[in-house]
Amino acid sequence: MDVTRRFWALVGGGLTLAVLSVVFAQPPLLYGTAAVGAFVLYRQLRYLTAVRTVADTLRVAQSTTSRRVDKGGETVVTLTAQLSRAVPVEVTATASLPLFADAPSTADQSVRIEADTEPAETTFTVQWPVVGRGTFEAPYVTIEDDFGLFRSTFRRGPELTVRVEPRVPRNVHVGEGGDQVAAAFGGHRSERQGEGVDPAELRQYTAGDSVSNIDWKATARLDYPHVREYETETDQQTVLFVDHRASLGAGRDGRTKLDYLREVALTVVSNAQELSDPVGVAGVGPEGTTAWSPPSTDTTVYDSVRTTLHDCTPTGTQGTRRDAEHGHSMGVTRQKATALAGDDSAFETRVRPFLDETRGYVQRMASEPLFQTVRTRLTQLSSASWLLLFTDDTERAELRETAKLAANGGAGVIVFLTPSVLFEHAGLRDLEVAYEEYVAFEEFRRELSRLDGVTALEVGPSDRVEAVLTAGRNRR
Amino acid sequence: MATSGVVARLRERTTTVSVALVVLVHLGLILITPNGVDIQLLVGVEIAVLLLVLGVEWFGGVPASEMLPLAGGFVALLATTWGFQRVSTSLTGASVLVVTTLAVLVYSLHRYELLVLGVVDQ
Repeated sequence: MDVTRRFWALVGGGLTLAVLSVVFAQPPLLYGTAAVGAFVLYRQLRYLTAVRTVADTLRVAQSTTSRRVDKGGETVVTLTAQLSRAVPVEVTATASLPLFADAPSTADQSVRIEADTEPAETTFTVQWPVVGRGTFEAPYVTIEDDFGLFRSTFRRGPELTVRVEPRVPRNVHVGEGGDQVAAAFGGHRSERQGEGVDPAELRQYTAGDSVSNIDWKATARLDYPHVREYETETDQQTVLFVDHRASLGAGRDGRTKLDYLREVALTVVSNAQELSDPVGVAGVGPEGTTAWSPPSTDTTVYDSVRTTLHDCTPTGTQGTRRDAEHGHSMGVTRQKATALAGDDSAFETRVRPFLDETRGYVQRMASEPLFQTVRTRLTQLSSASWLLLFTDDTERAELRETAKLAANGGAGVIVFLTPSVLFEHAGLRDLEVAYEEYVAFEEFRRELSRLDGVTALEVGPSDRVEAVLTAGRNRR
Repeated sequence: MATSGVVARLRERTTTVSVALVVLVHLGLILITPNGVDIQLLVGVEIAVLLLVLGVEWFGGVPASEMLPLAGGFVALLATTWGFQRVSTSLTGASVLVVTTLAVLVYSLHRYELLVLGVVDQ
């Protein structure tokens, strides 16, 4: 209970009478002090009765539209309070905001509570500029008496916690045709046997084997000398080609295609570092190579590669690049040209110039940024390098030719592809259409995977993959 | 809204008016009778003061039943003061006892309120 200046003024009046009674030796003035004291106590008792009623009957609750929010996001908080009995005091409930939360209007955070069958309610918007766990402590309840003598503040009601998360992709799906791939990217088997620590196989002793390689326990058990072989330790050189052209910026803020690919790329780098494998990175923008870090096992290189990955932002302007005709490979074009050979129909006359454009096709491909970057960097890499391409499905012809080129020049190629259909900004509005687009994507992914030495994996939000596949299953 | 504001201000002022009346009446009593106050006159004045304060409360809209603690407390504290005056050898001692008693009562109610609100355990 806090007292106001008015309370002290009343007490001062009573004390003055007491002092005067002593100074002037007038006992009646002391009765005046007692009278003032009786009046102040009466007011305090009335206030206390009201406070007890409030404490017994007040119900306060607070809720929010979401318990989880992205950094920079907003939530709407509702504060409700109900008093079932009338009291001769003014009761106000005020929300208690976490330190790092911003609320544009402070006036909306309080609600005055009158005795009513319906709860008093206020709503206000809270912004979350910082990542963390924000706790709304129990709201403050303030009671003020009608006579302006006393005021009390206490907390009543439940706490409310909101988790503010960074704008990074969650539930990253890496897989094939909707099936998650469980492998740790970056991990590898040498497929060669020799010195090492990982057991590969047990075989019978043959002339020429070192006696020190004999597994004596197995020999005793199998009644014939046996030799245990181990998998040879190798270094797998890995180079990441990260496309960050405009189309990779599709998706919600913090959950774009590039954000998902970055998560996968960062996992690859971590695994490579764990295995002490050399790793390098090349950034691909609309004009060609934007960053290049040659493969190395130097500890600073891993950090440098991570920095490059974090620095990649979608650049350039996005056009309509997904074109079915444009998506045909040069081989298919040649097949069509052969099929039409000798045909003198009007159709052949009309189509022939397009099929004869093979030279233009090669020139066009050479100027495409991803193709150009891979071709340039392949000359600087050993043929034992694994090449990882991180891109989307918009430039299909370019990607197909790039994958072929990389497969010819390296030990193997893994293409991490983000299906554009899973990154529509407005969400998956029409699931049937989305499913059809996903099927088209899947056909393209399989086509890439059929190429020699190429593995194509899809990367995207698992919830959307599941939604699209469920729509497909329901249609059947 | 405006009417309720005026009523609220009047209610706030009833407290000040009541205490001011109590102080003024007692000061006036001393001025009128500088050579000492007769006990019967004192009792009569205190009853008048009590009625005055109750009247102000009634004007402020307080129901009669809720004014009983005021009347009871008024009578009890005046009787306690009379008792302190009788047992104390000096007026200073009686004054200290009265003021201390009031302070203890006010503080006790304050502590009880903290207990009711759950701010303190005991």
